[in-house]
Amino acid sequence: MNEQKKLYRMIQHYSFVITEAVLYLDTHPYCRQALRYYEKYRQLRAEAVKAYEEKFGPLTMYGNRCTDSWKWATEPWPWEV
Amino acid sequence: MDNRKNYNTPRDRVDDEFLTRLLAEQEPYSPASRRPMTQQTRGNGNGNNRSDCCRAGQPVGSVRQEETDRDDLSCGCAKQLYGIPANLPLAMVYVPDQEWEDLYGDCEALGHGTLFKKLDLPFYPGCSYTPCCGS
Repeated sequence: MNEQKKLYRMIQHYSFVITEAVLYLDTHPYCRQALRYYEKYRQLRAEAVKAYEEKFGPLTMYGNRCTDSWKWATEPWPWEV
Repeated sequence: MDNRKNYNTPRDRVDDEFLTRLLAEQEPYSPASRRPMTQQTRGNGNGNNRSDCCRAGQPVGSVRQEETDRDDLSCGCAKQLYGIPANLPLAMVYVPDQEWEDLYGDCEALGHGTLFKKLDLPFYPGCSYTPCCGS
């Protein structure tokens, strides 16, 4: 697995556990353990997204970090890598 | 039934025999794979099908006396619709409050389809998952 795929996979894993924590928090809004878990993975995901987009281009239309070209249109989409 | 059994998880409350039968089904459920009803769908002589009881708006008076006298009044519609055995008892439905515990690791959760080990129930036989981390 190349670095780009690894990083993308990691973001998928982080996104999934965040989604799970969010569903739990919807019914347990004061659970500190779940809140800590959410915060930990929110940060990890944000770091991973930043690292990915700086190296490999935008993950979403909000992630274009290049001022020379619109990478979202000119490079493969994340799921095509 | 074994009284020592732990009933903390939904899986614990599923009857083993039922689950075995369910998992043994060869074909995935689809409307086309419904097994034909034999007794239940046989015509009652006046052209009406017994499964007509599930149609909305049928007047009560249209149920013939000879049918109501019979022991088996089940129309079989539940079985026909959901493909589950008709002789299961009706149940009270409830959802126990979930605890934040027994989590999968962040790289395992996605493959299991849940972060919570207690929600990882064997609904899909034959599936295996190899964690991606470390590979």
